[in-house]
Amino acid sequence: MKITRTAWLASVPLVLALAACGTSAPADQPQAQVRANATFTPVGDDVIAAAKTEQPVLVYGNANDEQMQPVIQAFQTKYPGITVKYLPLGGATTFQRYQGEAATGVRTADLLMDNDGRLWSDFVAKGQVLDYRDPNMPSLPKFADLGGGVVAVSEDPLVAMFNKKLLPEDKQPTSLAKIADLATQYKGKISTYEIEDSLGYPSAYAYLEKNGQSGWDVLTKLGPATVTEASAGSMVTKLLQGGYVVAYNISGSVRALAVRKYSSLLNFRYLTDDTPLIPRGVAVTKAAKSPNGAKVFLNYLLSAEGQAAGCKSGFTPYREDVDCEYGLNAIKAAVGENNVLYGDYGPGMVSHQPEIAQRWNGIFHK
Amino acid sequence: MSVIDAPFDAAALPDRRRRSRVPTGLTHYALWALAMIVIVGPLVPVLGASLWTKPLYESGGHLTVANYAHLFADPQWWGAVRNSLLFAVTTTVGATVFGTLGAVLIARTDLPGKRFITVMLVAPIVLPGLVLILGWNTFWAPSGYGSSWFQSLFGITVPFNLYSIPGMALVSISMTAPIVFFFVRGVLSNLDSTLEDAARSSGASPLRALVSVTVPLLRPAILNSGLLVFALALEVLGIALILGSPGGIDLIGSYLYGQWFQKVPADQGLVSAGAVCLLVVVSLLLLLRNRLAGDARRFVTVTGKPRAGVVVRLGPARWVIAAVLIVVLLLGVVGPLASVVLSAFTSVLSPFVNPLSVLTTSNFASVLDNPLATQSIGNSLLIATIGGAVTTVVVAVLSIVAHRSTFRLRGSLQQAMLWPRTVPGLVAGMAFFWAFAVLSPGGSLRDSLIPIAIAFAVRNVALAYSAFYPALSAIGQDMERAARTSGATWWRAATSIVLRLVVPAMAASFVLLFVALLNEYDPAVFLVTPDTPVMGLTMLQLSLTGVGGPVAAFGVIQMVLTLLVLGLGRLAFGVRARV
Repeated sequence: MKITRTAWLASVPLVLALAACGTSAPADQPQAQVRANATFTPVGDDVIAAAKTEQPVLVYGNANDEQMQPVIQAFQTKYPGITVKYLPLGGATTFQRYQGEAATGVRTADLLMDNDGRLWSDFVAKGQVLDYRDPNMPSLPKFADLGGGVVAVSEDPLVAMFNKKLLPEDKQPTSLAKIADLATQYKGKISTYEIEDSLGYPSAYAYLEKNGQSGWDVLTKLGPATVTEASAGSMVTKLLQGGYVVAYNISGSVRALAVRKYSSLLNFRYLTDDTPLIPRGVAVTKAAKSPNGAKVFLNYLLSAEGQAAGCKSGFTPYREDVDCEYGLNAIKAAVGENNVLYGDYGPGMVSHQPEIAQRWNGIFHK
Repeated sequence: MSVIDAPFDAAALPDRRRRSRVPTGLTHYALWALAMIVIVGPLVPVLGASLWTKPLYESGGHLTVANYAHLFADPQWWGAVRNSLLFAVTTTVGATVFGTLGAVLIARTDLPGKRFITVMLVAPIVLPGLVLILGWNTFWAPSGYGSSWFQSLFGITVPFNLYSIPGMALVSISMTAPIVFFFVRGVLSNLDSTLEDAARSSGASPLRALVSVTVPLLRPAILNSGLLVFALALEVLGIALILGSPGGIDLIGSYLYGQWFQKVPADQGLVSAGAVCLLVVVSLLLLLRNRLAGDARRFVTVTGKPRAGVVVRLGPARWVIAAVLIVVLLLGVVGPLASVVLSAFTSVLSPFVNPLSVLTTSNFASVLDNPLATQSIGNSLLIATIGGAVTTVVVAVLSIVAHRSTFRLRGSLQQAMLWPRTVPGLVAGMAFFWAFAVLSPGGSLRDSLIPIAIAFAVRNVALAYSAFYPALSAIGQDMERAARTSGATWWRAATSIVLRLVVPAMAASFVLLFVALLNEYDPAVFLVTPDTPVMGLTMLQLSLTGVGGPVAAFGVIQMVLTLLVLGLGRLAFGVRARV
């Protein structure tokens, strides 16, 4: 290509000028506190010492980088000498990459962290989870134990997120059924995850299990007006641009990140008929080449301190000894204890997937 | 460079004793075999994987056609095939019309602002493809900057939907029209204008002469480039993944990607079968092209001394045409790219917020803080430098064997170097995945950058060859013959005379390879391991999972690195973009 020398040089001052504008102050962070009476159950010193001799801990998951990095930074500050590398992968890729790599013998994830219960069940059945129990387990509520060695690190709610310039807060619907009533008015300006997403199917399943046929009726109204996306990132980007008025069943991580960062444009709402909590499972893998490092990181994620750190970047702590403005207790208070839909990794969820996914795609991708 | 300046060092010529030790013919055969193994060989395991019940890295299994049966029974596959065909046809028609029109207008008319138009037109081919896709997604999405602006200006919504097949084809046209442009302009600049003069003297107007005489002569170039564009459009991955998902549109690339990466366990046999089908179709297209193009000699028009073509005067219409072209390019290339840059330097890009009030460099800080991003940049620079250098030398040596020897199989060597251009990137990546899975079952080799570097290099051999070959053919054979008569072996003559004379061409070819390897991504999809992320692939992953700002910042870094290298290459070696 012909790049004239003058044009080339002319672009340099522009870039420099922009660079000189400096970094804007980071958005204020959500409040999170470890209570004074918190229990502290670390791994043994021998595990920590062994972890320091291993390669960096490799983690695959469906959280995006923006959500994960602050937790990793906090961990590395607490445990100098142990590093964590994170690869954000969506959908089934978290599990598929691991299996492909483990089968061909290349380096692969030491720890997986994902919301997809169906794939977790399959993963456990294949014997890919390391037989290991974290010292935090006795201090965690029962629902955190997802079975087969998988533990919930966060109880992620699905929320609705609005562009408040296009739909002022006092006019925003408070339930999915009421959003469906706006479907014709905002056709093509409503978004949600594809059913193939790690949060897409589990949230649809939790909602339909509670609402049955009336739930399908709501989805039938929403489907033709909804544009599906593969990630929260693209939904947020287009909400900001005004392409979407509302995104429903979007990951709760947006509460601490996008909503705070762009508070003049965006807000979120827990829907009274549709606030599923999808456990984000975490487990050390069988093919882990840094198993000790993975154990230390797992221990941190489940500890009161780690849960508090997670609160700041969009995870949802459920430990009773952690106070977080987006934590489980805050959600219960917002929608009422009985309206919270607890997702699980049970057999029903696994067996209904093909049927629900097909029917859902029939409605949403006509 | 004048060939007469070449130094002739008689003392450096070898004595006769050395000559007989390794026969030249044998080294040619060895080189040929090596080239074939690396370029064509990896496709064998894909075929194997598609016909085997188990993944090749697992023991056991037996021959089967079940993978093909499953593929052909899957309605999703046929849906993807239908979409891809529609997409590829639209892309090819659009790119051919626009590219040819652009080339004719620029090479043969008195259009104003030619340089400016050319720069904008060819920019997409040198810039990282994903950045342009991201740009379209920011600018022309139903809510994008361009769309909002269009609506406020004309009061109507943008007449196309980016998340439909025609919308996706528009992006693809902006990226492939330069290919047609280069092919056609190349032919136009070599045509003998006396043919047009003959038409003129028989009473044809300049425009009539251009349309009736010259344009038909462009048929081979249009066919060649059109076929290449069609093949590229059949295998697109980035457009399919980023723009197809909101509309629920699957193309062949995203279908194969989904069956491998979004399914547990991955259906590797089925994906391999799909890859083989894609390869067969592309190869058939090549054969068809050879039929259609007919005897190339029919189009030979340069005999004796051609003289530069007569410039066709467009009259006052030239201003209108130039304005239309500039507007189209501003909307299709400059606008999208500018929106990526703006998005990278602002904390939020939204029509509701004045971008100048939210300028920031924090997006860049967050990219540079991210170990995955920095490791990718490092790996890509390493592959581009070492891979580019090695490939340049290999292509130079192979070209000399292919064009300057009496080696019996030299013709097939020429074909082998051009062929990778039509092999879909996904297929090439899968080929090397299976090849290394078979060769290195323990995985130790796959943990290194070597497989990705080789796959990237092979995929870009054609680029290096087509950049290098013209310089080689411009060097007369007299000096080699002189050396041979004075007793030099073939290799001696080739390395001390020919290779030295083509060093500037090698440098140019290196720069182009460097840029191509830096931005390549689809072959890496299957090859990447946690320690071997590369820039293009990380960009793809970030665009699929991340939020606007940091992704755009990563794209800007990629774009700046590319322009920096090209700028330096142009200053130092006069490198020009080509396909």
